[in-house]
Formats: sequence, structure tokens, C-alpha cells
Amino acid sequence: MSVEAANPNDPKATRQGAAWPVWVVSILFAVLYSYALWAGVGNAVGVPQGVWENYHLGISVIGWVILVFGVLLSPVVFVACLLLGRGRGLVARALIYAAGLCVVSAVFGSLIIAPTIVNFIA
Amino acid sequence: MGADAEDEALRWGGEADPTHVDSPTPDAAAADETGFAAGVSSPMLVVYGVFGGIYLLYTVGWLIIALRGSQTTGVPLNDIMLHLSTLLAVAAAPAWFIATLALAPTRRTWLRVAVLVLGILVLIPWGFVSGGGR
Repeated sequence: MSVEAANPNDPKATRQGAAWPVWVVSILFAVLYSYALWAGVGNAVGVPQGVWENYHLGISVIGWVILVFGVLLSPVVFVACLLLGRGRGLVARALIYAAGLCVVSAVFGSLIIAPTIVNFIA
Repeated sequence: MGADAEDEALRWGGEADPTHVDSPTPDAAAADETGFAAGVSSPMLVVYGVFGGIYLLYTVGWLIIALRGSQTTGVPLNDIMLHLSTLLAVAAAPAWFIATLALAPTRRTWLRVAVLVLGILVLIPWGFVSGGGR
């Protein structure tokens, strides 16, 4: 834990803002998180298109809820990890981001079975 | 290691032995060996053990989902990210468990238990539970 950039007990350090290694780690994870956002947007655009092409019907309310959830999931978890990591050392922040990324992957992976449970077609 | 050291391992040392838990002169080094468990009571260790078992089952569930495979899109970047996120999904349960125990203060037991319960709700391996849905 010797690479800790910010001392959690030092109020001066947190007031001055995060050190550059924290920014590097945050941006690196932001790029990784962005894939789930990209995939979520892709679903939100592609699924309604596909349903329209195949059935000439719209998306149900619950369908939209799941599609929007898929878009919001990654940014919401990222911000939550950012807030959880505030005032902690670099290693702790990286651990939180990594755990959050795993959770996003797992929950996003679970969304794949959503069409078998709920009806996407209005 | 001499014969003395080997003999040392075969003797219990009795009440006065500093490495004995109930010894009147507790050995600081011996106490440090259990450093991680310093503030964790025995019942809580059992609770963490039960949670650990559930998280282990979740990991196996996600592993089975991952081994079942998923459809490929044919787009290289998409497929790489799909494989990566499948791997990350398998790592989600251990990551949550380790992060909770490593980062939540030992004394705030209720917080740890609440976060571990939350993890069990969030990380349900739906693909395994439902059986279908790839």
C-alpha cells in the first residue's frame, strides 16, 4: 500500500483534489466502463429497430425500462465507485473500480436473459 | 534447523509459554500472526464464512454461464469485449467479497453484512437460475 497517493486522514490532501495517478486510474477505468455504456446504447437503438423490422410493433414499457437500465447501469456504477473511492488510497480506488466493473459485466450479462422473462414487444 | 528447534515444536510449553493464548505474558508476535482477525469475533467469522460459501457458489454459477459460451457477433472488438466481460462477470462475486472485507472497517459489522447481502442480491447468476437464455 506504499503507492497510496492520498492520505485518507489528511483533510488537506482531499481538499486539494486528487493526485495525477488517481486521475490516470479513473480515466483508464472510465474507458473500460464505457464499453458497457456503448453496448447499452447499442441495445437501446438496435432492439427497437429489430422489433420494428420483424413485427412492425413498438417496445413495451418494461422493455424500455430494461433498455434504459442497460444504458444507465455503467455510468451510475462508475460514479458510485468514484464517490466510494474519495479520500482513499490509489490501491483502494483501483480495487473499487475493478469490483464495480466486474459487477457491471455481471449485471449486464444477466440482462441478456431479460427477453426470456419479459415481453419486449408492445 | 537444529535438534533443539525440532524438540521445541514437540513441546506444548504449558501455561507460561508466551505463545499460549491464555498466557499471562502474551507474545506480541504470536498475536500478530492472526492480524487480519484482530477485531473479528468468532461468530462474525462464521457469518463471513457462510457469506464466503454463498459467494463461492455464485462464482461457480457464473463460471458455468461463462463456459456455456455466448453467441459471437463477428466484429472483432465486440467479441473481445464480450469475452472480457464474461471473464469479469466470473470475477464479480469474489471481487465484491474481497473489496467489502478489505475496505469496510472491521468494526462496522452491520455495514459489512449489509454490503455482502446487497452483493448477493445484485450478483444473482440469472443465466444459471433460468437455465435457458444462453
